[in-house]
Amino acid sequence: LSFYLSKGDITPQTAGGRFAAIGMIGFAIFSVPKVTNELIEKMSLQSVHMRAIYTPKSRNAKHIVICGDLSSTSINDFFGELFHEDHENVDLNAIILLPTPPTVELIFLMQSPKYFLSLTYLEGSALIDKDLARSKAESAAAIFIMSNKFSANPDEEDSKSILLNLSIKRYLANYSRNMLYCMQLLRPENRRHLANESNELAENDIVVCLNEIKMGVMAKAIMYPGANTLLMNLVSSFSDDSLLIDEIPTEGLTQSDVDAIFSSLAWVQ
Amino acid sequence: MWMLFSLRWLGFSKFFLCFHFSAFFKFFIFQSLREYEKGCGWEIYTTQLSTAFEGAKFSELSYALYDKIGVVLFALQIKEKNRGSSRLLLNPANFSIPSHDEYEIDAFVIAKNKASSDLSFKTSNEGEGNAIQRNFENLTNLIKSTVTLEGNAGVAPTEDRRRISRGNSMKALSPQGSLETDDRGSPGKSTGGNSRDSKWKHLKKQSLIDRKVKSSNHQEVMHRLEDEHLNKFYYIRSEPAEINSVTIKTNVLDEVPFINNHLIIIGKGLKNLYDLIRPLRARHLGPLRFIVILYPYDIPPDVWLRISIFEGLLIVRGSPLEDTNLRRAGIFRAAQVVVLADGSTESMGSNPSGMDALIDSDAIFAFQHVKRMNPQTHVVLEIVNQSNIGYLEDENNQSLVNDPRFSPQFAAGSLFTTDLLDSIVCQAYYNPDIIKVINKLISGVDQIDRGTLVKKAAAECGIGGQQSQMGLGGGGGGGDDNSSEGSSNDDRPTSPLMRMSSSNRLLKLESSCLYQMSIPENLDPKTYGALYHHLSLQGIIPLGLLRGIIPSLNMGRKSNKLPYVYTNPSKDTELYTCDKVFVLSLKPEKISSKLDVKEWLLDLQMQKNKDGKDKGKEGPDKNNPKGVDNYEKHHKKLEDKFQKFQADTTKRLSKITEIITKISDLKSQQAQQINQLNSGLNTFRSLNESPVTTRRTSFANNEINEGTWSLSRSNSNNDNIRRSPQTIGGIGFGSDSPPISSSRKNSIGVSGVESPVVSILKRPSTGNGLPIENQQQNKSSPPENSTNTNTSNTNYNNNKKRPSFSDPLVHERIIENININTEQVTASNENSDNEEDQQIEGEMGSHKTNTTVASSANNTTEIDLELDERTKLVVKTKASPRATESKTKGLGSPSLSFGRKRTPSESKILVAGPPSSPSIFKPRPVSAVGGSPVVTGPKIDAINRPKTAERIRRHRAASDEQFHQARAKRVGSPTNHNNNGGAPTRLFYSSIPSDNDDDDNNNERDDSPSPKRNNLLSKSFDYNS
Repeated sequence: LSFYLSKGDITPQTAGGRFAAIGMIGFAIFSVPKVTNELIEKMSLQSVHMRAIYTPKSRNAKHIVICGDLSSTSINDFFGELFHEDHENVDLNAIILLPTPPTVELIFLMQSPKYFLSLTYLEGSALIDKDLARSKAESAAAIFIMSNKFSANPDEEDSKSILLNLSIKRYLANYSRNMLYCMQLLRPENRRHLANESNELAENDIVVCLNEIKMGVMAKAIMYPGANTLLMNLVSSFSDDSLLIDEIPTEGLTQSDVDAIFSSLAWVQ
Repeated sequence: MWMLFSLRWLGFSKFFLCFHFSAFFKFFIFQSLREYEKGCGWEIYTTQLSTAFEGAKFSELSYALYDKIGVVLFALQIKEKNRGSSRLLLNPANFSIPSHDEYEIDAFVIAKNKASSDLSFKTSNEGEGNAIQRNFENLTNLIKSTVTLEGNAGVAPTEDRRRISRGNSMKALSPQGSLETDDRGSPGKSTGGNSRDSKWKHLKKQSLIDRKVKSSNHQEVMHRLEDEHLNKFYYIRSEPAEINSVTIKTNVLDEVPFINNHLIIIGKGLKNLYDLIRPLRARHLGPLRFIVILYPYDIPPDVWLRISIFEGLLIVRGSPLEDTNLRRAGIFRAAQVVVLADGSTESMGSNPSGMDALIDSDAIFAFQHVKRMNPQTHVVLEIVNQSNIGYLEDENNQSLVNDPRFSPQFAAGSLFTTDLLDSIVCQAYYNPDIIKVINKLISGVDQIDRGTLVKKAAAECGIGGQQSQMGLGGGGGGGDDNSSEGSSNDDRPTSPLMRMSSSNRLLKLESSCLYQMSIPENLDPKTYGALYHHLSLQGIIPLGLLRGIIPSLNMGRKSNKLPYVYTNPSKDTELYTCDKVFVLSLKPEKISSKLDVKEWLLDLQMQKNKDGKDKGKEGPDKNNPKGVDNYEKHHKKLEDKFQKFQADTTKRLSKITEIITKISDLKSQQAQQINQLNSGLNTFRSLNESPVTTRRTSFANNEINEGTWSLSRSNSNNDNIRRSPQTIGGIGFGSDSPPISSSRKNSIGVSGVESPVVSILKRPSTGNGLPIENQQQNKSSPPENSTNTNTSNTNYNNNKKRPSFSDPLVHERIIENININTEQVTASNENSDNEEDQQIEGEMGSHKTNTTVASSANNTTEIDLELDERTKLVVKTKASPRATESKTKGLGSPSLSFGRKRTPSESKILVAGPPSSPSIFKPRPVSAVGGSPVVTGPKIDAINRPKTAERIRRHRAASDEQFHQARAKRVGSPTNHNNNGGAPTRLFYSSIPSDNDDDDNNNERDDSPSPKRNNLLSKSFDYNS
């Protein structure tokens, strides 16, 4: 038996020692993988997102924290809008802080080259200080609190949002730093729960009352057809070259032909 | 292919055109998409205003900026530097930009990107900065020149600027100095400010004492004012309706026979119905129109509790996926349909298989169903999942672009996706004030009133108005100013009164609302730049275009098959008559002052429905004394206005206006008669008259379609009318209801043809049990017949399809109805009596028209009186009501037809004439204007029915007499200047008379001016001929 430890200068000399070495080797062969396996198992229970911590990549990097409920949000459009070039933000990072593991859709989105660097998913709850610290909420530029627009129980949904808001405010109270809270609430009536005793909303609470806006826009659309599209165009960013219709047919009518037709149909007008 | 096409086109066959256009549509979609896409690039940005703009008038500055840079300045946020109160103003047109010393001003602009939105011209880059600075100096000069040029008419703006700068220097003296608007009352301002200051000091002292006591009071007052506000500006019931009383069990058309242009709400997501209905019940939108809620289950009590306070709601229980239910909801007469998404979690949870598309399936099916049944309705569909938009496209309408936002439906404004809400949140991060802007844009007149509300409340309790009320009935933007006012956190020590004072001053400024109007006719170059200029002179700022379609071609000028939105077009964009423009305007397009009467009428209607049809003798006035009071009140007002109107008309009414007036008058008469008919069923039966079936057939639709061309023409004509002050004045009662433009086309507001007349008539008639009701009753009773009329294919027509109770209509439709009625005769040969009636009705209707034309405007009152007279007469002698009536009026009335009931049937044929020629609208020498009633009427009559003409003359004399007698007693009809409808172009109508004389069967009406049936195959009453 030649058993070399390190450079082989130490070897078990006695029979007992050799047997002990054999035992140890055998033990290691069986147990180490097992324990490792257990460790991995345990770690896999906790997703990578649960342990992730946001670290700003540069001094200028700004980040926002998104919490609440993204289930009814079209994340593609949401992040498309958030990171739209028209807004001229260079170093914006979005941290998604949700208590659930990311959906497949979200994982794909995070892996896409467009958002690879700027999206971070943290699994955790904004109600827990530890998780807020992981997301560096204290230095965030804004907190987004989204809600499920189609909740069967809008009041409950709103109370969740408001609770998140209050929790974050409490956490940030130590830092005495003003930041923007962009909230979605479903029912306009629930806005009052956010108000202070004199019935004012805090300055940095930006509350989007989903139903109010939705119904208001629809009412406008009923009264003035197209008003909804107008508003939609005004609030969403489109790249100037987002849509180019290249394949304009060269044959057939051109606009001038159409005009000619119309002008000769003078009696139309 | 092109050759083939053009050859066919040269054949002037419209049908060929349509056919080929749709074949080519796939190509054409690009054309419209281009514009739509261009429009999509615009966004709202916030920027600081450069100091150089100080003193410029807002609307002029906006135009100058648009002209030079292409960005649209449309809103300002003004914040006082040391007080912290701020206010967001959409297009404060006459507002002069104040000094930066005292106010922080943020401007909201529509721009392509952030860089181009910058109006502060502060750049760190020196060279670039200089260049921009130079540019900008030019711009400033230009602005100044425009200011001087354009402001000459009113206040000289240069002086204005000077005044403002003076105001700045004097601001120690008068804190308001720099914030004054352009109004002319400037001289007294500084002293006024002083006195107000002292008053405030006084108030402050007082309030400090009372503050603790009253702080709870304040909330109470606020809430009370809120309620009052709601009552004043919305159609609110005095007490909430019982859900059972408004639930329609059979068919909407049965229970509310005159429902028209109503809105149908379909969907399961009713949770927030209040927020949807509330803006739609605003009074400034014009006459009340019904809202039918089609819901498969019982309305949840909590939902109903909130919406039950609103007027004019009907509930139909049923699934929208079945034809019958849609028909029960009156789909054929609906002007708009809203399909709400059902994105509740239960439904999502029930589809764990990841079939996201199923979320929208019901809505999409309902959408397509509705479109199939009534392609003319304007449907707004809420979509949860954007990818589902693809399912909306029909086969020849395939978008070649994958982005759902570029689907034609979306561009047309019939889709709403919830992604909008997420976009808003994102935008809010970059631009926190955008929420306020959005809220302002979507809220109606509310915001203006909120200011006064706060002020009032403050005045009442002497406590600072900074306590903005929360949740103003959930009103749009209820919280937006709250947050801004909340920004005063940092200056706590300031007394609330100080803040109130400043906010008071800010509140004085008027803010605009979003409206839609049609393109003014008199634009010189028909380009968007010219439009912008034109509107900016009136203090209106356009935001974008809705490219319309020409209904009869089913496509628009840009070969678009659906309308689409073109946000902020470039200067040289050509405008077409079918386009609409979105504007920010200070004034609502229309305020109808006679809404109380309307309301009352609606009450009557509802009441009657409830009470059932056998309540013939019971006067509705007993049920609703309040309505009578309302009426009396308006009576006085109306009379005054009528006098004025009379003078105006005789002087300067153009022929067209006159025709409009008269036709609408006719229309309201028709509505009255309809009412009367309804109310007198039983009595009528006692007279042993057989019920009449009115049939509405779709036969007339051809004609309607044919008339589309002239319709669009007439619309534009109306624009002219609306714009010329004389005409407006001339319209008389129209003068108190400002012209509306777009409402007639697609929006809710239907111009108020007020029908006090109706009320006048109605009260006595129902009270006395006139035998007139039956016709209309019967008309509504066969629902299968009444539902299929409305296939006219124009959007424009949506509001005008037929006279309705709640929606007094548009004149063309009257005539069309008449045609329809006569037409029905042909269609339904089963009951000769009925046919006869109908025919006569139709004839008389047209006859009426003629007479009205002949008579001068002052006949409106006369007519009312006569109607009263008639009702009286009817009461006395039941047997011959219509003889009297027709005599006095010279107007055909349904009752007239009773006399003829037993005559053998006649058949009439509706002849759809050729499209009316443009010449129709040319003013012609007006015989009627001068109040020479007899001339025209007989003339026209002479053509068609010589006999009648003679009678009319007689009747007119008689009616004049009666008119004078009765005038003291009763008032005038609202003649309505319904701006909406274009002047009726023509009435085509032919009768193949039966040979018997109508007189021989009925003694009662032997002296009635029953129309002589001529053997003319086609009578065409062209008003201009």
